[in-house]
Amino acid sequence: MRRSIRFLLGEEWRDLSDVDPLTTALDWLRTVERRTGTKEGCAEGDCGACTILVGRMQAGRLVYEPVDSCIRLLATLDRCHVLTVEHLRRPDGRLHAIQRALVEAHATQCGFCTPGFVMSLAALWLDDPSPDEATIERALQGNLCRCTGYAPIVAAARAMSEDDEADRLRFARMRREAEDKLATIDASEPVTLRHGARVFHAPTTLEQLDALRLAHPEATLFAGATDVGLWITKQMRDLPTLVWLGGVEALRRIDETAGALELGATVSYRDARAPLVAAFPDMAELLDRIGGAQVRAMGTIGGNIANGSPIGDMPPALIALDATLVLRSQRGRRQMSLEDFFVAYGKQDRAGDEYVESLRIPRIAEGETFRAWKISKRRDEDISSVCGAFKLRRDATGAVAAARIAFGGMAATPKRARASEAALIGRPATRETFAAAAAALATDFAPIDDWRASAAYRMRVAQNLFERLRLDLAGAPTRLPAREAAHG
Amino acid sequence: MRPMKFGIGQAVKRVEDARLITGHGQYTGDVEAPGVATASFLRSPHAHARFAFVDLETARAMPGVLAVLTAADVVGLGGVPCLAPMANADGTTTPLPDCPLLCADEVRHVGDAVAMVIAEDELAARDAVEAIGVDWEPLDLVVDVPAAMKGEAAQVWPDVPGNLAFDSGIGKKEATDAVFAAAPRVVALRLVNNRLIANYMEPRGAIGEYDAGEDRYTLTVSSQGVHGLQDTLATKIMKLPAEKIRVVTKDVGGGFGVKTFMYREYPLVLAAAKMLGRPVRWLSDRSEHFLADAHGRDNVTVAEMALDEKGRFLGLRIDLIGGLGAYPSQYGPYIHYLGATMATGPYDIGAFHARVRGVYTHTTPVDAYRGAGRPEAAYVLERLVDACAREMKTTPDAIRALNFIKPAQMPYRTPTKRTYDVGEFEGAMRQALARADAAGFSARAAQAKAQGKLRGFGFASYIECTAWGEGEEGSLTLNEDGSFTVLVGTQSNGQGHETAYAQVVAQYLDVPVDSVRVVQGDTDRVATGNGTGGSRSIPVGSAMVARASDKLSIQLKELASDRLEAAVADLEIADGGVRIAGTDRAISFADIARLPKATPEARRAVESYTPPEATYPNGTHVCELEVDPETGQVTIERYTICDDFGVTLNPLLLAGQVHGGVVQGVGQALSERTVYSEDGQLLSASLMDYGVPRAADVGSFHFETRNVPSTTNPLGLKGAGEAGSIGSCPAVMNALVDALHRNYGIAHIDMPATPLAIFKAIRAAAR
Repeated sequence: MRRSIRFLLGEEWRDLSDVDPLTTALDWLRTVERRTGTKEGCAEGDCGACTILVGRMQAGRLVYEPVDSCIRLLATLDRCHVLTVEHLRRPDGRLHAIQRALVEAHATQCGFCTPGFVMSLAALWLDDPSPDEATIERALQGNLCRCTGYAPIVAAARAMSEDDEADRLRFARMRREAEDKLATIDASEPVTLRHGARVFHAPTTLEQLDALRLAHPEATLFAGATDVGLWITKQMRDLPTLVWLGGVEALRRIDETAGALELGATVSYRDARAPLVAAFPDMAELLDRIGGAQVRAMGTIGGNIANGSPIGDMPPALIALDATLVLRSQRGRRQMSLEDFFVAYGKQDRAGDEYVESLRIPRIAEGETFRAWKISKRRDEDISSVCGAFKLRRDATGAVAAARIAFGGMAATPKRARASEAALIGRPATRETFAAAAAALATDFAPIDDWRASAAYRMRVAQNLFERLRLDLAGAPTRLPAREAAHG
Repeated sequence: MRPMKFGIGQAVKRVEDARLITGHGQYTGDVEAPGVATASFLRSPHAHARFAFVDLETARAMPGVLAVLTAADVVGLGGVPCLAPMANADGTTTPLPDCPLLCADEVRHVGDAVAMVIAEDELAARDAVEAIGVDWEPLDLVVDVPAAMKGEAAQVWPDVPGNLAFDSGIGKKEATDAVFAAAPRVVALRLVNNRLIANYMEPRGAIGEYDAGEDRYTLTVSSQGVHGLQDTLATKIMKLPAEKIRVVTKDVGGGFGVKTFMYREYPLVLAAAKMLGRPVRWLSDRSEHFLADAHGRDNVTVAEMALDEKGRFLGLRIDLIGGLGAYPSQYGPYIHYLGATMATGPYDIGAFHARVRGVYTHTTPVDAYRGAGRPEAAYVLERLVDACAREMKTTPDAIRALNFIKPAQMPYRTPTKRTYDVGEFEGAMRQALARADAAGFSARAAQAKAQGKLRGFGFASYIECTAWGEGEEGSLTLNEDGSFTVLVGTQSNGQGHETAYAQVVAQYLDVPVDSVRVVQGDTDRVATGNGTGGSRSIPVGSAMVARASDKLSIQLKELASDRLEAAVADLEIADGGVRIAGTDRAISFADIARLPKATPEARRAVESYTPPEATYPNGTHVCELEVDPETGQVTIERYTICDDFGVTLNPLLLAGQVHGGVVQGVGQALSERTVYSEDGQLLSASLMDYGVPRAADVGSFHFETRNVPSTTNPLGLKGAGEAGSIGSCPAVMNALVDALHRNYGIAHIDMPATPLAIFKAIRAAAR
């Protein structure tokens, strides 16, 4: 067992044993390393000023992702290649192509958000050398700027791959060297850090995780920390025992079989996007509206399920798709329908020694339709007011033969709309049928009033989704046409 | 002015960027202070309460805690004063409370400070804050401005009945009332100017240090000007000679006016540093920003226009009720009045009166925010003018053209006793409308309608005032290495002053901008200054730098004349040195600096400039947008700006100011909503809940200038820092009302016109 974390900061090794597990990557960078280019704008993953690039070893190769360092725990950088804004400029002092593009476009004013934009653009630059408008917007969803009005930044994003050969060559060399170095760390060796009364465990196998779960039922399990990070930075909670799942390679598995898509519990939104969208095209819009690029790179679908939030975006979609969950403990595996997992507010059907291992999502069959809609106050980086998901099968006559419908934000847990389903099944897909299903929603749900949305609004908008579904099935346009190039 | 390679008018790239874009900016939170301790504040969870401490000892005994300070520990220090009181119209004044550094026994808004913990690190400080025991006794409260004026409302201050801080007036009431009584037509509107929260990306922060040997304090602070803070600390709060307090500001991550003010945390970190004998740092987090930094805007205005049958404006009557929050902030009361001084805008209106009232509520104090009164005024006037056009069944451009002050009327004395020197308002409007293809709108609207969208077209012609009042004194020095140093008392907080002032020097001395260093933000290095605010830096600071450059160029010619054996009159500045005109005999500035006669005094020019009158930037913003009637969602499709900034110093910096300002205006118009619950909790207190525009929310703009040089500024410049936020709200809202009126007959909707608000308006109209 290793008693330190090891990672590369730029080209330099860091080997840290005396680490408070609650330390964020941002605080460590700023206060210990004195790399102050990375900024704290909000400490809750909303503004992106703290964005860094984290390269994660995956099958011997580094995969780079934009990360909100304000909620990323330092200890989870183990076996990673960490790059901050200070690393981009070439050793001869010449600016990186991204930085040159930002200067040329006059895309920085006060400069405080700029390092975060530089790093978000760096992630985009690695992913896509010629991004279109929508891709640029997605890459910048998680970054706020209050000075420039954004247009110059978007212009810089369009221009950043011009004359970037030297930077690409340099990056490729850095990456190879980092891969060689990081490959020297034994990926199968678990890590344990102790700091005063706090302890951090990073198991590498399911068996180790089983044992830890049994020994420390009180421990906080986490992967992306997009929620747990806020417990630390905003709620000032002490979490004495942390078990980080990011080192367990088996939990990152993605299996695409003929009948189903199976996702390990720590597959991130970012990694899940391609297989999910391939299987369920309607999922793209929902996925692209979860957090920003940083949150999607960090956050995991398993975490979104395991923390049991009533407004989590994925559970309604997954319940409608009849996903099943595999819970695991040293006693063995237990499989259940996802909808049965959510028992009550803050309570899930999970024993103290169990954890979510994987998720199995059956593919939609011929004749089945899946739709999911997120309703929130604004398009980007916002929490759902209501999230509704529908899976329908119609028979040869056009009547509804089967329906699974689930909502988030309508009850203390993500929940099936069984009365609405009953009102649809066996009926012709007419306006009256869908109206009846919408009306039946009132017997399924009694949503709460809070300051994100009133109970009446939640009910109304959820009911309206049935009409939207009907129109959609009938082939009528139900969504806004793609916006013309906004930054033309 | 002769074009110079790096001089005035050139699109010079920013000299700041190399630093900021590589992460080498030095913001307050980046500054090293060896041995620094961290401060954290216990802030009130109640909007109004009496309180008593029941346990301070637990916190004091916690590990890492160095001190827990309450009001009793800082009795020797004054409170934070309001520097801009307003008299009542009858000449009386209402008592004006200071904001205590720490509340003694009563809190007046959520976020009001009651105790300060200083500890070894942030976590220890915050843990101790949570351990402080307080017995709260919640009291009646009021958060809504109109409600606060009612007799039964809770009172924020015992000696301010009706929460009315002031009731002032401007203009001629009786004469205006008479015009209205006789007017054939009167058009009235009641408009809400929503409260805003600045949300600069760098939250405030301060480091206090005390040198016992010199008995001297140093405050490092994210500010918009060090000298004003030094003066308030010295004369009002700490009561010390100014030289005992050094104030330093490094890079600033946005200010928008709100970082101008003295805040309670600044004297407290200084006092704590002296008590503990080590530096004390406080860095605001985002949540604290929402609660503890001054908010902006916040008024309700009833505006009436009297017209004749031809649509000529005869009189304007304004009744403005401004929110002040719980304490009168530094300039809070005056800001509401300042807007009223620009109420008649670019129009020739004979009769005018405004009543301006300021009202306390149990909310965060309100003060200047980008535009400070002028956006509010322009919004009211331009909404009202569009309403007048509808009433008179004429077009928005025709009614404006009819009523604009004509170039021939310049200089024009307004009913508020301002003097506009120049301005061609119709010219800017016509140019903007042409560029926006107003003529093609109908076709675009028809096309949108075919897709189920409601397209609207609207614009606003504004005039605003910038760079009034205080001047700037500073200097330009030729350094021994041939480079130049500008000392200036303004404070860049993102605008790019280092580049702009260097360009002014380059204009006079023909040097590249990177050979000019601009020093700002240090009371030890720059003797005086009035900071950055009211879009004053470029018009006032540049005029000073220009004068100093001109003066220094003469001094340098004098130094060179001996060496070149030529009369000063035969010398010219060229190519980084002085040469004999028409020859290649020259001496570089570096060589001049090494001449025996080149004493520090001979290489340095001190100059000052005080503006005789404000400058009056103006222009027209045109907005074209689409409303989705099914969702209430607005998308801005085209945005066109034609502005008159007198003279363009740097087109890149200028466009940046305008773009950023416009997006802040779009945010105010469409998404930024500050929401207090009835019990005084700020519900919109995070970036999740407060609608700062994101990249996908705004498009690009077409911006151009139609400059008419200012006659009150030596360089012809007019201030440009705020204009974007002034023209934008009315342009966006006029376009939105246009879309809603065309399709539903809706003539009014308030800001922020969120999708829900628009959805409701459409549904109400359709009923």
